[in-house]
Amino acid sequence: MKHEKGTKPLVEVKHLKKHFDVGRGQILKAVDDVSFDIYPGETFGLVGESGCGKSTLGRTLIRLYEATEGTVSFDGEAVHGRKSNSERKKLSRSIQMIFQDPYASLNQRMTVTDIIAEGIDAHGIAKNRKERQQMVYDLLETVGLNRSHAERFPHEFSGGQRQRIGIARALAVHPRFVIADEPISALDVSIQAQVVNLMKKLQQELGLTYLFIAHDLSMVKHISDRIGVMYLGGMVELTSSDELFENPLHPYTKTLLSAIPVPDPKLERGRERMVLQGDLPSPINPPSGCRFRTRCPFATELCAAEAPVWQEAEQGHWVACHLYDPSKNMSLSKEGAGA
Amino acid sequence: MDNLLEVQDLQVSFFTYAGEVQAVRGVGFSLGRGETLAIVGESGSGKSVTSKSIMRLLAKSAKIKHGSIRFEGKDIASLPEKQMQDIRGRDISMIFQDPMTSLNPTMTIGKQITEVLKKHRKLGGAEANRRAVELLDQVGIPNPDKRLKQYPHQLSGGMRQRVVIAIALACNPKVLIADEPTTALDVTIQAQILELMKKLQQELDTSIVLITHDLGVVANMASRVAVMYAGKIVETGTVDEIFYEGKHPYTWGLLASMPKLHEKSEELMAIPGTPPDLSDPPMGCPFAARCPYAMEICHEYMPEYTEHSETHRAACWLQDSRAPRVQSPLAGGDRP
Repeated sequence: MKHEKGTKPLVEVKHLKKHFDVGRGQILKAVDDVSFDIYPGETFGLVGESGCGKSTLGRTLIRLYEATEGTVSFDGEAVHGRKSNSERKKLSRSIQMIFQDPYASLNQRMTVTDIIAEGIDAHGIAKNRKERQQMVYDLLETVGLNRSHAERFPHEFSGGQRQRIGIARALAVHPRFVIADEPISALDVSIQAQVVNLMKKLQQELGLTYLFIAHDLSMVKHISDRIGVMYLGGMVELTSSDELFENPLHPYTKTLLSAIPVPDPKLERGRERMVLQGDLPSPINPPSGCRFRTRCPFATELCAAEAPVWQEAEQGHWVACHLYDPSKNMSLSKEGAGA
Repeated sequence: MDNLLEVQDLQVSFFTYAGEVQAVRGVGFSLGRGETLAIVGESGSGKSVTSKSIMRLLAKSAKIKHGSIRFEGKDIASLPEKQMQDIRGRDISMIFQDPMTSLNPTMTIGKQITEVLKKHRKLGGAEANRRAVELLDQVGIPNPDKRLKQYPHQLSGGMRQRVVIAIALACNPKVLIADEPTTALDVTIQAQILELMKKLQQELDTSIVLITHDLGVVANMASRVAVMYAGKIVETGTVDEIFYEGKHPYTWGLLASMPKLHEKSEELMAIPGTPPDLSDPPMGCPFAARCPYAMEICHEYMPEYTEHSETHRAACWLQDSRAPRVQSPLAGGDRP
């Protein structure tokens, strides 16, 4: 689903920061000045390696964490800041979350009915017990389970089935925006495809907007309309998913794409890999200037001195890299790297 | 004798309160010198149990019920533990999935590497240390002298996996079993580790048994592939035979459920349902319940292997001459 030009974004994130005080006067900048929009009906994919801040970003969007600085607005309304109870409730009905680990995210002492109906109860959506039960039955069927599962406990289900229960719970309050934080990474390949297909189907039927957080780029590409790539707390590139794979700009995106092994032996044999040197630097003490410069094959002195500006290099294709800054006049060749 | 390792009709069961769980139900394969055999399958397919049986590291509740594991002609399935200790870590060693838990957090890196050298190579302290520095250098860890004195928590995940590899390779093993060696790592680190494993394999001429569920990693690393499902190998062949000429519907399903990076498709071909419960395995083909091509016979009798080439065989009733011809859904003509 593509958004039309001139559509108002559903979620607007502006200069969002989330810093954690880790003691001894040290600050961990998990999310550091990130701005982007999510449009109604689209799937926005967020990728990056562990520790890049993608989950923290997701959790800050739904206000599981308070933002340190910056704003998040949902449908024109601020998510953070002082809110009345009814405003909070309205927001938590509109935004729901699906978690990574289907083994840890369901309370094992509650029946499936009670897990799914928790939101229904909290928001007083059902008029009576009968209606509540009917809603649960309907939700179970929506996610491909059946009535007979309603009175069982989580341990009686497989990983894929549990993730379906997690999805049913998120859908129970009729949200408009769903944040899925690595919803399939704990599942087997054949089951992953089932859950992704289900999420796509539900999106079409219910007109949902997704933020899909994952580290598996091939699955993210499959489900997303647009993708944002994060590295060490910052967003380095943002564009449509086809454009990202056909024409990646940021050196980090390029290495990330070349690192994915493709299930095609002939292609794999002929592939030249850009293998990244070294490890991720600590987000407590990130490198000066561009965060990626310590591992970037094209880094220059400028990259250490100055942080690149987040700008639109091509229509709808945002990137934070000096190489694509017309005012900096740098070239992509390795020879130019010493200049 | 050409094969370094030969597993025949291996059957392993776990004995639990709920009864016997038949995790591995007659697995056979061989491993030649210098080759990489990938065993692929989903969780619960028995791939890790197979690898642990070779290492003889099975849990107490598990038992090798039947079959043989021949290493250089000697059956190690029934070897006394004392003799197995001479082989384990020296001739056959293992890399585990999670580098966070496979190292001892209370011992320095140096001590964990020299431990192996002292036990199997009977090296003295100074010599073992020198060799440990060499090993760390070989697996690409900068400042090896400094790292030797550090503890696992001071290293990143990728570095820890490099240490685990250094320990596994300390005695130049003939067989290296890598059980999901990169699953816990990020893709860019995974690329580093896979490159390293390939480089070391060429230098040391080690044979690798690679256990994984990631078909991308298989395409990158393996020379031969065995596809496991519900405790059985359903298809085995060279990597090209499996990826381009796969015969078993489960192999097709696995390949089709992976999204292609270079193609856009609307819906993934998911395999419906879930794997069978191995405490009560089905009588016939274990995949029949999820197979779109299943026939009556599939539910009643387990198919025999059909040979398609010297290296390629599959256990599926569709290969029987009386069965209807079925086209692989992958054969769209887009593959060279």
